[in-house]
Amino acid sequence: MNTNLLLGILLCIHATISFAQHPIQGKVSDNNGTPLENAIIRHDRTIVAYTDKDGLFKFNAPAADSLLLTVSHLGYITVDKTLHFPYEQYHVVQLTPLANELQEVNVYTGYQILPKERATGSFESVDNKLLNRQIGTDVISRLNGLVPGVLFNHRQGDQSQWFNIRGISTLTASRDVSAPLIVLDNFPYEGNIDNINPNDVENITFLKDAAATSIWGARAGNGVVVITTKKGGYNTPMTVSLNANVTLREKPDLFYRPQMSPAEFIDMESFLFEQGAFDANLGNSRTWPVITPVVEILEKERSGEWSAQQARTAIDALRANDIRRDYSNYLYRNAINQQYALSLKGGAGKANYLISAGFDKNLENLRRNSFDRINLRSQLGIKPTDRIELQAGLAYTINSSADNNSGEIRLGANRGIYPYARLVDENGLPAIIEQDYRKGYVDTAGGGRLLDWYYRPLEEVRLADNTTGMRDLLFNLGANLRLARSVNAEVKYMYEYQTTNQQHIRSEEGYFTRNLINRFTQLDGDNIEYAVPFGAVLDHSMSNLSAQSLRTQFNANIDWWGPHKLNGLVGGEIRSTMIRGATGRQYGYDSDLMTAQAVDYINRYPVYDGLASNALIPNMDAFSGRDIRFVSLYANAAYAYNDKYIVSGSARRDASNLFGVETNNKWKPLWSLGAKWRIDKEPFFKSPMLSRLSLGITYGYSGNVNNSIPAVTTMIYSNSLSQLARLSYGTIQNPPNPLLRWENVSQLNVRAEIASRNNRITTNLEYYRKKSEDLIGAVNADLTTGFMTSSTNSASLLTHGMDISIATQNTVGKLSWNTNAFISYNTNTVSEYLYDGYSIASYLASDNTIVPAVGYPVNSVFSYRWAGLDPANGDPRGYLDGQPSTDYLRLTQPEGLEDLVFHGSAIPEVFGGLRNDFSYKNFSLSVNITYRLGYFFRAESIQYSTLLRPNTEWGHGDFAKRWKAPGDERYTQVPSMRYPVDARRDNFYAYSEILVNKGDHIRLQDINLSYHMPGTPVGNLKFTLYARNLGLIWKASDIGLDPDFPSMAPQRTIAFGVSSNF
Amino acid sequence: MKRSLNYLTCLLLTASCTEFLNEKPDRALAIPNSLQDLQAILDNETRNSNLPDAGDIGSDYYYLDDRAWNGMNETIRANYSWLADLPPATNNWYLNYQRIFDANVVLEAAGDMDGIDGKTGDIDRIKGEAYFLRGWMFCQLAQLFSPPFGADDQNTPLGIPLRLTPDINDVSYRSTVTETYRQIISDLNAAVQLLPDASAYKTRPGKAAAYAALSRTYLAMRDYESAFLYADSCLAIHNALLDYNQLDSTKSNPFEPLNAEVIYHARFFSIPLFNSTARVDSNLYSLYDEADLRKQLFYHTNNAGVTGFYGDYSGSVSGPSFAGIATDEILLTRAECLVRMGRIDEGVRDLNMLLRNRISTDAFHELSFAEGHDALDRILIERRKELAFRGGIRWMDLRRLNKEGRHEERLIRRINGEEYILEPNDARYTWLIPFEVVQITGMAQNPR
Repeated sequence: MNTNLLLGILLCIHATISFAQHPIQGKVSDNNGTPLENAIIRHDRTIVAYTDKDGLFKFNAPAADSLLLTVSHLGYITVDKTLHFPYEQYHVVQLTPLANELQEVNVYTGYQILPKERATGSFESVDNKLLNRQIGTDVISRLNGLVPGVLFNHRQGDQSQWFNIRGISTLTASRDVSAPLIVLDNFPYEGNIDNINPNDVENITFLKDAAATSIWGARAGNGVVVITTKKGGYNTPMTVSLNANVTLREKPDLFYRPQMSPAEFIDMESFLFEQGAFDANLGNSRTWPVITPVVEILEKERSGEWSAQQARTAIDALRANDIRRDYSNYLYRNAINQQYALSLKGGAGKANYLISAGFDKNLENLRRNSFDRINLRSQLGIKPTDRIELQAGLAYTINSSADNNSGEIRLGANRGIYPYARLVDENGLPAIIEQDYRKGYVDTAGGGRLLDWYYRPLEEVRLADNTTGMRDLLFNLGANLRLARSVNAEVKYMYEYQTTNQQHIRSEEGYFTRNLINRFTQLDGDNIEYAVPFGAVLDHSMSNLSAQSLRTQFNANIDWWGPHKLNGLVGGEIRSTMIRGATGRQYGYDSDLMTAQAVDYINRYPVYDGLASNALIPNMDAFSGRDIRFVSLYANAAYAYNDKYIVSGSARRDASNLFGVETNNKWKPLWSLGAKWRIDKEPFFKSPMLSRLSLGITYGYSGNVNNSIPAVTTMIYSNSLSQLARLSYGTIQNPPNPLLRWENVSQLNVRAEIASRNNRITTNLEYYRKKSEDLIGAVNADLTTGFMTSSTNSASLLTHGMDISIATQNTVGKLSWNTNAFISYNTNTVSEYLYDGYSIASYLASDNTIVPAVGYPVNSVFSYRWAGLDPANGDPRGYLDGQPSTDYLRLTQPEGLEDLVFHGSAIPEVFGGLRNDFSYKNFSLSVNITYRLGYFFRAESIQYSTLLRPNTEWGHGDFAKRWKAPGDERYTQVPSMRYPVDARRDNFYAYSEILVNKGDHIRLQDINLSYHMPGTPVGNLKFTLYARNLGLIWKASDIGLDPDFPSMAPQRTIAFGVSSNF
Repeated sequence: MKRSLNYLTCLLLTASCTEFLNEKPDRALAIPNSLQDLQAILDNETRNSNLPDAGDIGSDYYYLDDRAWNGMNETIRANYSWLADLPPATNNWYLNYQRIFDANVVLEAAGDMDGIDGKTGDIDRIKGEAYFLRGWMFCQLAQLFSPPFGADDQNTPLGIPLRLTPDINDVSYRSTVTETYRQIISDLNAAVQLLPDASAYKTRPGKAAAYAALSRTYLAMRDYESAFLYADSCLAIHNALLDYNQLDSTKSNPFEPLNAEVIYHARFFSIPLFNSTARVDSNLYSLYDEADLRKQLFYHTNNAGVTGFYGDYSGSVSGPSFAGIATDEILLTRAECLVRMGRIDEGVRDLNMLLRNRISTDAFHELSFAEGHDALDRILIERRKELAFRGGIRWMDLRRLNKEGRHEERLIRRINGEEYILEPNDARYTWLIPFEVVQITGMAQNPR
């Protein structure tokens, strides 16, 4: 986007507005006459002045028939004042302190907009001011650490978009099943969430309890997030806002995760060489597996080709290398993300409009990887008559990403890099690293008649051309017809079309293509035959999503019936999502001529030099299709008496093609009920301290569609033909499960809202109790059935928790200081589990798969009891029959849960945030501190069974701390190295008590510093400096790792932004 | 109101709500209920090639040197040295029963299709293939987890679980050895009734494959007359032999997959013994004459001096993976049975038929024997030489021959200076059932 152009437009507009200027001044005071400093004077919503310490202000106004001034100050009721031309020069404005009324907050449910006052359910709102406190490309990751009850899963990285609302409600770990439903404006959003530009967002509402979510029915069991975009308003003047920011994200610290030093690795390879571990590979003259440089040197020494001295010198020269340094220097960089957004909105009596554009350009940490996005959006509202309102919106997103650098280099399909490898050779050129075959073989293979067969990773990054482009069109139409005094009908329609194209051109110069051509080359005397043509290999894939939703709804809003207020809606909805995909490959692709060549997919060709048995040229053609359809009916009503007693109820019924006929028929409606009592409105309520006290209670059901398991036996056809007979074939996916139902979640929520006089302190206390039933659990099955696991509705989960938030105005006036704090408590217990046939050891298997143990949290951390290292040989020991033992076979097959140590939950049971916002004159500072308590994690350590083998993987840094000699057990708990390896010994150690650590920590999440410059020639400017991932303030464990980021520290980021409104 | 609204909304997009909601969610998913679907399940070559390798890891045709053994994982180390307390890799059990489940799905679905006009032939063939698969897989499992068949000890020892329906809620329990073999024979006989003589593809069984599997089963049961009859029936349909004189020993692997000798193609679920580590047993290797073409075609000594096996019938270049059925096996079975039945000349004729295609033409001489036991000894030696590294055969042979004092074997492994011995008829000839299975089902473990 051309910023000069934007600036030009902006200046033009400003010039028009400020054609003729008339000075206006005045004074703002409270109702005792005390001057108020820092009161904000707005003209047509634009800040034109602030008051000084004497409460005085001054600005120039354009000539107009009338002028609307708005005077506001934190803690006071805002006053509107209309001036008529010619203006009076001096104005005295008195502001009344906020006493009983908080600013009205609306909640957006996706079906209606409700004043928070009258909502019985549990809602949390994030307005765009809070959303824009953080700077980032996407919407979701900006919400981290801000919302009570919402916990982000940091295991997916610090920009994770994976979060839970009020803990987990399902046993299926996959994100599809456990993530909350995301609603954009009125309908569930099926596209890629990265398509949404945060600058277009007006409000985000989290629906937490049953009264809030049950309107969303069978997909609301994990909570709902409603994202509402900005719209123009009727009778509002045009406002223009501009926003530009740049974010710098440092390179990741590749030395953060402890790993063996290259020198240790070299010694370990020498040891393995002596043990003959590489002999099979060294002797293999058929497939020529990769041999690492140290082993090659040792082999030369053994064969007498090199002297011992020569070998030692050569090996010592490699000790100083460290691939992590090369990765950091050549594969990584500091990431730079730029974001620009412009919007115009406004409206007259019969029409309103909004037009916005956004541009993002991200250069990722990995060199040659990038993400670009362009957003264009328009939204129009028209009221042709008093009875009809029409809405139309169009949003178009184009994004493209390049994925040319995977950041990791491997030696072949199942072999990791060795740490003393180099990416650049001594001449500064891209270095050759072994790949697939032994280097000595590649040196001479083909006698010069094959294509270069070397692999130069740095060159591969340079040549890579792997791009994905996505286009998303979102179109919505709405009509609202007033049928009677308090009844209206509305129809809403949404259409979304998203197309994704990936194109991966594997150049002929690249290793992938050269290797493929060479493997299918036959040298027959002077004759050379190529089964795979020269030219690039083009891998392409395409995916189209089209979604349509149609909703018809009747709303009633009765507020003229004395003390009775009734508000209700009833509607029906039909939704259909269709996804079609295709992938394919072209050989001999020439991107200049746009040509490709045909290959023979039918016949098997000999592989060069018999490196493998005769093979087919890979055919990558594949197609896929998914259809998701829903039909739903719903109703919702709330009745208020005297604004004091409020009751509400909702019900919904869903049917879907995902469930199968049986489930659709067996269906029972999901419903909720709620009540709220405004005690402060009772005549008997006379508190000098409190201005508000209300109590609410809700109860109801929502569902969770787990479409991972169908109810009938299904098979899936392979997208290729069988290897030998060339027949179409399929694989059975799952056993029949006729009893399958969707999961359902019932929730009881009790809430109290309390506010002090003057609203200096407001608190919201909520207690909830959720029961998730018919949860689909995957259990280890009797292998004799032919299945490793079987899944069926088999478990129940009880969750209870509290969300407490408190907002205080600590000081008002010159220095304003506000605090927002929240604390969330969430704990769950598996209350029922219908299967008992599973092994105890599976509780340990992984922290990411869920094996429920009745009476324990879903994500429990169990471990083997630790009896220390054996002083004689450094073997890890556990307890068998009360005695220290090294019988790993029995130790790793515990008979009961009592044989394991239970630590606690792997998910924080207590978490929260503390945000302090200060403002002084034009400066404001906001600091957010977050904490997570009451959970455990397993630290990584050395695994000898993956280290001490021919295909060795670079081991953990604990290797250096291992037990080496008797007496070491006093200083270390890291087992000795043993060869031959015993995977059970490793397994026992990996899941032992000694590696479990407390995860509790307090983190300085982020800091935002802003400076406001009102009334500049380019509008009201705001400059922002934002920093994130600033580190931990405290942690409970003493291992040197961030408990939430054990394998990669979150990188510090710093952003600078400027925005303007006029 | 609600109903009419529902109707209204549905009307807007489709003719009827039921139809709208009947669309299957994933296009690639099918509910297996057409002949095409069932055939596609049966034609899954990957799942047909999930045969167990534990018997071969425990067999005596190869050895590992100390260094190679030290580099193996603990399961292979334990199985190689027949350690009493460890079962083989779980896949030996699981992948076989997975295929048995598939066969049961096909049998159940095909049963529902009986009577579709004009399709009887296809339905029969599909059922025949499924019966074959189930019997064949039960037979593989029986050689590992069921004690050897003994006509004398009926009904007492426990065989393998026989799962005969796709209902996963059925509890697995062990049948007796007699019931196990009765089921294998019944399944394979059903296959014989339903299958065409020869199948269009060697990855699909035909009658010849079913006869061959029956012959192998009866051989394991030491019912030599039945084994002869079925071997003979098989060879009447398929008796092609490769002439090793025509093969090129300089190729990485001189044998093509699906070559003329293959009756039914199947493979191990993995390559258990890479030819760069598993060395051919030196006694076995010394049995091949210089004129024996198998010595060059099967074996190769690599740069590290390891003489390994490269003559795999599935075309693999890394080690043995063929575990199906080929003419040579069945011919040797018929030869052995004929000699045991006293028809020595006919048996030796079969042996000569094989050797003519194995020994260099200029060095080949017809063998003849006066004594039946000499002929039998020679046939068993040729069986070892011909079928070494051929999946599933040597372990079965060891188990049955141990029942005859004359041919019993005492197996010895020497590892890191220690000797591990497997005596004839040792309980360890029956592997332990995977612990997970015993833990979940409570079925009886094999004795130690």
